[in-house]
Amino acid sequence: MDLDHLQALLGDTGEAAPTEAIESTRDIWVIGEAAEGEGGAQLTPLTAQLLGKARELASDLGAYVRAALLGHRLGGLSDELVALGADVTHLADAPELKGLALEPALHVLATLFEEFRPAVALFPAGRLGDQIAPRLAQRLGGTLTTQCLALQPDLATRAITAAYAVYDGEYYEGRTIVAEAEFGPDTAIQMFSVLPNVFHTPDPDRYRSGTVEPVASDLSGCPARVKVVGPVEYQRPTLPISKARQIVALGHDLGDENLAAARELAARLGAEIAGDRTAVAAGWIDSEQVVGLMGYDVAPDLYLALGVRGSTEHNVGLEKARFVAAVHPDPAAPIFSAADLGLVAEPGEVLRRLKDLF
Amino acid sequence: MRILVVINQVLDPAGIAVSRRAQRLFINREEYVINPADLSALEAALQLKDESGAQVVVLSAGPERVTDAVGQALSIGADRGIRVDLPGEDPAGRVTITAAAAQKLVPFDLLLTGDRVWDSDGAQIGPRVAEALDLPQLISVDAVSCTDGKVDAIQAVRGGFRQIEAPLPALVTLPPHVNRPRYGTAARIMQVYRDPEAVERWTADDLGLTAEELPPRTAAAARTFPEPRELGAPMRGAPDEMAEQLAAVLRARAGG
Repeated sequence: MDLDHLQALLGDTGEAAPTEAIESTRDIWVIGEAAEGEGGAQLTPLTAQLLGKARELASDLGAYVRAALLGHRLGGLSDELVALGADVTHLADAPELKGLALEPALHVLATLFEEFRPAVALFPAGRLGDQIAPRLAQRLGGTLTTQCLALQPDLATRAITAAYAVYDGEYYEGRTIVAEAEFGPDTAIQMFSVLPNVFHTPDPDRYRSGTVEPVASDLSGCPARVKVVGPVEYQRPTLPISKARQIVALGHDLGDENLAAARELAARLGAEIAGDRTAVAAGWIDSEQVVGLMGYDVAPDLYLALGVRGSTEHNVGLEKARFVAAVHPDPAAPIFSAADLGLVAEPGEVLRRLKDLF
Repeated sequence: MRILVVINQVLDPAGIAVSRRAQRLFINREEYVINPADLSALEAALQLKDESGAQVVVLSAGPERVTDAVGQALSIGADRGIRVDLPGEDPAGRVTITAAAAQKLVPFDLLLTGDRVWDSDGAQIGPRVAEALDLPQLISVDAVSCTDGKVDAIQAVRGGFRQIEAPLPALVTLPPHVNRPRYGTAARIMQVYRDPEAVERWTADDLGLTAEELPPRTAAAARTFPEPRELGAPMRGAPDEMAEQLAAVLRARAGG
């Protein structure tokens, strides 16, 4: 798009040019992440979601979207970044950046950010957003809000309010950047690390055009200090079920023959085993693992009840669970009144199928 | 060997009730506890102390009430406890103060803390302090050990665990509930409780920091609450199809 033409059309005489010049140097940045997929590296869905959000912010705040991508063998991904919404892409492609080792990645990003002074930078939660972004914010004097679930710009001050979950999602709290008197070249960089699937994934537009700027950086001065020795066998200490994040609960109607399959599923999920009192009677669990009034209250992210009929006494213990899935053959089983997802089925059949799926 | 453990205090969620319907928070009992992830870090430090006789210094920045958290850490087994006065609740200010306090405790070998703070977006505190002190970082590890000048840690990765190592001094952060925090003995609890000088108190002045160096950069905004939970009606159908639905939920919920 010819910008001069557009400005003439809007009657812009160009008098506002100086502020435009300042603001155009302070763009919205997205730090992308690539994952190894079939046929080479691919952008993660979260990167696409960040680019979609960055475009929204860019049109609200009047800025360009720049995307940075760090890694090794990233060929072709800058087209992808442009199609998803970037105006300019900065690709840092070096063997040292494989696996995003802290020191070289930090060096590349700090150099880029010092040169371009982003107004806003969006990071994917995880290694980039929660390990590298805090150090970058500290080094450059920026602000950072991690694990964001929403971003809302204030158009007057250009400060963004971010929301994040507290107490593992019990409720959400907003945090806003204390607006400095006037937005200018020295205003602190606002950084955010964003969780997956909170913004929608934009459709790629293959006809968009953008500029590619390769990043030349000398990484010899910043060797990675952390060394990965290799995979290791480790057994986590068994946690009390009241602290478990995932629980597979066993009940009498599971049937002895399905016990092994249920335990195997729990191991794959990294879940603790629990159950109701009928499971104690069956000898599958001990009394430390009973959920309910006679046992323990639990508050996991996932509670999968297999063959648990679910008396009132049992269901009381689940009130703080974030998601309850239940499998039981009887549609009138009380467990379904406590379940977010209830399946009327024989637990054994579902387990057999789950073995292939999960 | 000296180990610094940075702890935070959070409002005990057992004393609060979140009403999704009324869209508000009811505080029934204002009681504070040590952030669970920091408690993991403290336990890891005390295990290293058991093995090698390290000195464990607990550091917490916050208002007067934080003294209790530091006192609790002392009664569990820490050797020295320090509370630093923290004006405001901004993460950047907390980092500046914590880093300055850690600097005063040099030489130390390990800086241990939780990988998140339960009641805020506090995942950034550890790495920010490590940046201020130029330390390598091992994030969200399950177990930690030290041998001749380096730290070894076990970190959960997709489908298992891996071993990583870094030279000392280093930052190590732990997630909540990866070990079983110990309890203090009654005698030790009484000893800390009776000694008003048990927890040292430092101020920003002692650390040579001025108010200009600790400006509020961010402020808490409004709270919002999730929608009331709606339970689904039980599904009927072919077990195979239902199993697929369940598998999708498991993948989303368990990250597998």
